[in-house]
Amino acid sequence: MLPRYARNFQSISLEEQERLASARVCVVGLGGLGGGVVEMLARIGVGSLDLVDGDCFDETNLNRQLFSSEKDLGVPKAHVARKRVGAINSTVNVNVFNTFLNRRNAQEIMGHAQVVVDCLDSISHRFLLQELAQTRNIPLVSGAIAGTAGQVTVIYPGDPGFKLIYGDPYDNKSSGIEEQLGNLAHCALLVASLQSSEVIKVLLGRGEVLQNRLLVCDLMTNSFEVMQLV
Amino acid sequence: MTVSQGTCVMDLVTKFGIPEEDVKLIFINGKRELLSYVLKDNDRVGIFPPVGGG
Repeated sequence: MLPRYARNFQSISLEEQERLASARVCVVGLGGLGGGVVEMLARIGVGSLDLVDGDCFDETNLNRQLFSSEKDLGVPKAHVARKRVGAINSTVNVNVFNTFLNRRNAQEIMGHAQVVVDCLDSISHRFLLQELAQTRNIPLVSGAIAGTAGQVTVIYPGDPGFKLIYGDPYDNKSSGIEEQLGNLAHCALLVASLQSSEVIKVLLGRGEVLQNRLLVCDLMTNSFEVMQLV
Repeated sequence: MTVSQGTCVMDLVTKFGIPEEDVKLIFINGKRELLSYVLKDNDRVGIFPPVGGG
């Protein structure tokens, strides 16, 4: 095993490290959540990453998005992500898609993944992503943030998923309370860490996964709670 | 807080002046419930807005 993974042991066994190396994860959205998730999955040794975002970095991203930098303003997030993963861990096989996921391109983009990670910033797109993941029998690890609050859940095929969290998909604004509260770096990266942890547990089949449960946290009160959705 | 018998979560939402469309998620003692849930003694109520940022 490569020395780069020496500090993963023995929290992760050699066999588990090999399982991660042969795993393929699709990260949808490369902003505040996605940048953190990709950084962590590349470092821990997930072998293949399919990275999707049709956006370019702008100045409003600099407060929280790990892959954004002053020199890369105007550059596609997907291209910066590829470069960053290559710099962190050249053993990772990276496929980037400088586009937005839709019904037409979904199979090509996420069809090979064992886990899909929802790092989107719109509620309506989250419902679409859930549908696309569930019809392909792929577990979805979802995170969302607003101000100092965050939430994480894991949705398997057949689970009720987002309708228990956001209500009727057709009776929803595209954004949530983040429109008023904004998005903060420390909250984004905390939720990205929680998402990464769920991805690793799903891939390794180990630990308690947040299926049909929602972890909600608020950093202002240091409250962390796992709520039962069904 | 103390409420009269038969108070449901919707009554609390009205009392606090929270717009109903902003209430997407209600937890009573850590379990998801609906606006029509009638409160019992010592219930812990969480009323959450939609969180969708990334």
